[in-house]
Amino acid sequence: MAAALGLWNKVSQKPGGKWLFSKGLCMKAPYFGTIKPMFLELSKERCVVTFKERRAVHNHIQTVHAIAMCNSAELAGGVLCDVACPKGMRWIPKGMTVEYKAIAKGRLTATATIEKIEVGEAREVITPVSVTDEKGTEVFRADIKMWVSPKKKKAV
Amino acid sequence: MIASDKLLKLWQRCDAVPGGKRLFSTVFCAQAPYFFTINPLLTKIEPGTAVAEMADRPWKRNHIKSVHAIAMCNLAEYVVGAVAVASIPDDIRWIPSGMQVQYTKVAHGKLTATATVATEFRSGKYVEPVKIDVTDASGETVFRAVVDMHMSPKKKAA
Repeated sequence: MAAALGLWNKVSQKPGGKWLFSKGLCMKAPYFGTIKPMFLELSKERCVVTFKERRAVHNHIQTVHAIAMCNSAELAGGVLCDVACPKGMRWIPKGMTVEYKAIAKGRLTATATIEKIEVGEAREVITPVSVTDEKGTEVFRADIKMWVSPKKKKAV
Repeated sequence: MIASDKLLKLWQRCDAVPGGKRLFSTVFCAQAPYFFTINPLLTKIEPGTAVAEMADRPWKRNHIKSVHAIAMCNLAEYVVGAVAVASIPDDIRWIPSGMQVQYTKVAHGKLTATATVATEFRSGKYVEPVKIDVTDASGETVFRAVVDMHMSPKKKAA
């Protein structure tokens, strides 16, 4: 996963590149594939992922299932944290707090942002993710707790 | 939505026959199609608790080949749905308004989720917590969650 940003910069401007990147990532972590996500933006500060409402992501009232939005949030937050982690640091999600704010319909967009991560001691980094619908209304909010720690040196 | 006593009666009938649990679980899944991505199996439903399990499958994994955290969230939401229908009286409207989750351990193999909720409910508007514990085959907790269930009196039909 570590080379995600380099790969993104290489392919995202090419035709079908964003699609290819998104598909490739879903092959790495298959459960993300259940929402058929598409990356729109990726940098060290921000990640934007979108997915469409389909029957397969519905809940019992025919709107987008809350866990499908959790999935997009985890995807945006996870990839962003991976990209933002400097060399020598590693990350792992520890937990998440989510809020369902409104009924979600149509195409949804998850936007994750992150603070700058420096090499240093292990600490918790909160990655806020907001999911909006086509009108721009925030339908879902998540704070993903990431545990960022120095990579263990391999014994020689 | 189905009434509590009807659901429990249906469950007891399904529980008694071979393959009944699988049938019940699948029909329950069909209510909210996103649950099909984890193919869960309900093993117990009674007022106050519900238990569901899911097998480890390649499509439920993450990039480190363990069970994806969101697959566990989905299992949690599924079992919360079952316990809510079975426990909350029909004159109360309930809707999940948020969730706090903790990933306590890397998850492998078959997972079992247990949801517990109170069986006595007040009237009026308030938030009721539903607790979920997901354990692996060795009985260790790999995931813990609390779903905030927003409760309000049901509007009477005119």
